[in-house]
Amino acid sequence: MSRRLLTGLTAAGLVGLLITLSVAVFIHGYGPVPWWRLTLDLGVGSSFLGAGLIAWWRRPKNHVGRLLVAAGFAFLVGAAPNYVQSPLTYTVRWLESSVYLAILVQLLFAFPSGRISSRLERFLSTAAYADAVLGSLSTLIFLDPRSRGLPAGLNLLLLFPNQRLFSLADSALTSITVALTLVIIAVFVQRWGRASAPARRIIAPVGWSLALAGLAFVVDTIVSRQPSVPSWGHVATAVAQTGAVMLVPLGFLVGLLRSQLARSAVGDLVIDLGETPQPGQLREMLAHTLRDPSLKLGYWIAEMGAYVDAAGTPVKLPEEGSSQAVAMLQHEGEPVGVLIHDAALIEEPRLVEAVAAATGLALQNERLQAALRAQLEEIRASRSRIVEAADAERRRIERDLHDGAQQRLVGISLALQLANSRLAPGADPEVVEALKQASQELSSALSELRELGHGIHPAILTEEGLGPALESLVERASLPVTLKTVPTRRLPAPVEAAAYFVVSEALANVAKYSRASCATIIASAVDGRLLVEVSDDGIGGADATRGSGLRGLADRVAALDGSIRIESVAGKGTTIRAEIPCAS
Amino acid sequence: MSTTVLIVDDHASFRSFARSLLQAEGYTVVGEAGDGVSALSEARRLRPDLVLLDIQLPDISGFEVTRQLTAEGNGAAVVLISSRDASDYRRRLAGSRARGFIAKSELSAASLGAILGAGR
Repeated sequence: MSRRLLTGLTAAGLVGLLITLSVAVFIHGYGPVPWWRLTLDLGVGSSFLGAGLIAWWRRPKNHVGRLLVAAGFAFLVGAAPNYVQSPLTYTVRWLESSVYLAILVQLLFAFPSGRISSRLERFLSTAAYADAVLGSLSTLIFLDPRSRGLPAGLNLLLLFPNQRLFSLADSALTSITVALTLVIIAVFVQRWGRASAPARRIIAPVGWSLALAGLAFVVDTIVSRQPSVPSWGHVATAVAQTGAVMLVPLGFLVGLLRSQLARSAVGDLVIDLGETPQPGQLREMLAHTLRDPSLKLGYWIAEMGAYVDAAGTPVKLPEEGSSQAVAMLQHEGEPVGVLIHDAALIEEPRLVEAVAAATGLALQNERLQAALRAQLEEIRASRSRIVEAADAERRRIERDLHDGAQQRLVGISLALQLANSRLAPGADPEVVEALKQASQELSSALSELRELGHGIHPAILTEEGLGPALESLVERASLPVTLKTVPTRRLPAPVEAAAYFVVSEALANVAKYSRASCATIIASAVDGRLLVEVSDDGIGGADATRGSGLRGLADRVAALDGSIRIESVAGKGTTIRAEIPCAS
Repeated sequence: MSTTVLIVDDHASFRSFARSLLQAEGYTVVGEAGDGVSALSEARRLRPDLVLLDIQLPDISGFEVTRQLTAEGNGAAVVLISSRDASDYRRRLAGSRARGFIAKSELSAASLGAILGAGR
């Protein structure tokens, strides 16, 4: 038997029962209770039963529907003895009439999953049942119906007829009930405060309908204690209160169906996706469809064995017990992505599935783009590591040259000077000449070695920074160069090195090709960017693509996320401008 | 009386060549040191007229040794030396209270005499 058929039969049976009950009550005569009261009672009962049955039918695995039906029955059973007076119904009414409120408390905390998850909420729910049944029992054992002008035998559980004890127990029960109600309200309000936007959307109808019912109850209680209010006034507030109570099961039903979310939202998504979303827009669309602004979309990158977002940044999956849940998205059995959504959406796994299916192609598309961006990011990082490693290697070679070969040559140079000074007067002129030549050769070798070291990585750049290094370049230049500004503070070593080599290469090009009479250098660090500019008054017309020197420098600068531009109009000189981020 | 010299360099071979060279030229080498800390203690103990001081020492730099020596009012003239050339130490040489700088390969009685003579 299908679930729907079963639910349908149950619904038909319940409705039949309700009709039978109503008819029976009418036939029996409604004695001291006015007809409008009967109508209201039946209205509340059928509101709970109807909403419960719809909820049960739409969400068979969720307890909310069953609990609503149970509350409806509990209410009707509690109300029925108003119309049928017998010892049994009188006693049952006392014990049972508040049970539907306890069921409401359980519903409140179990909503929308159907299960209570917090220990405090479970305790409060149990306390509500205890308050309803044990509380009533503790007053009933003292209640003598004769004190209310009713026959003595009506109360089957009368053990100690005592009006004072009854009043005491009744006041105590009222105080406990009020306190319990306040705690329950506080816990619910706190839950509301912590709830995420999608969760609030689901709880809201319940919260508002309960608030309205509470307000109506307070008004009705106040009005019913005012003798000056005419009888139609009492009827009006009672009707208003009952109407508000009738809205409560509808609040639960609307909330529950909201958690299911309109299928039409998925339809809209399909249409939106047809218009080829911009990169990164997919997340926004899914967040909108699932009404979860906190939604995150991760794309599976097999090479990294990780999920990344549209920007290529790795996405962390939520830990167990967090307020977020994960839906794995697969395509032909292969993982393509992950939806990290608010845990409230677990209530509707089929919606998440539908969204995932509708997303298919767009997701695959974005996934590939994200993979590309992740690879680019990796390449960028590795390029910058390569440049840094190359710089470190150049510094090491320069130091090795300095500490090794250079020191030895210096030693030989001093030894030659010593030998020269020890030559006896009138020594063999050939020896004197040989020593002199050796000294000169050695001096050239030393200066070539120094130049070589300087070209590999100038010590002054490491020792004193970009400013002094540029000053030293200017001094060595073969044409007049003006150094207009230099950064006043030290910058990261790769930035200083890149800027230095840009200027060095630019000056070399000026000397080689430009036929300039002078050049100007500007180097300044402003707003986290180092700007380096070398301009000359030469013939211009330089070709940026010619020569590997500048192209290599452009790569080096790009590895630091910087850029190089060359302006070179024939007859108007050349300007090379590099911009390098230098956040410190 | 000839000028007394303390030679400070972490390369023993350089110290030995420099000692021979300076003594041949009439200087009296009174001591040697291989790092900055012993340079300071030897200078205090020996009170030489001249400290020939390598810039790159294994512990503290020659600039720092110069600063401490001149701050103490030791009276010794400090001449910095390096196997690099002066253009590698522009600002710090300009800010230093050393009497002068000589590239190691240029070390001779003539280059020393020029610096010391100019300072007098």
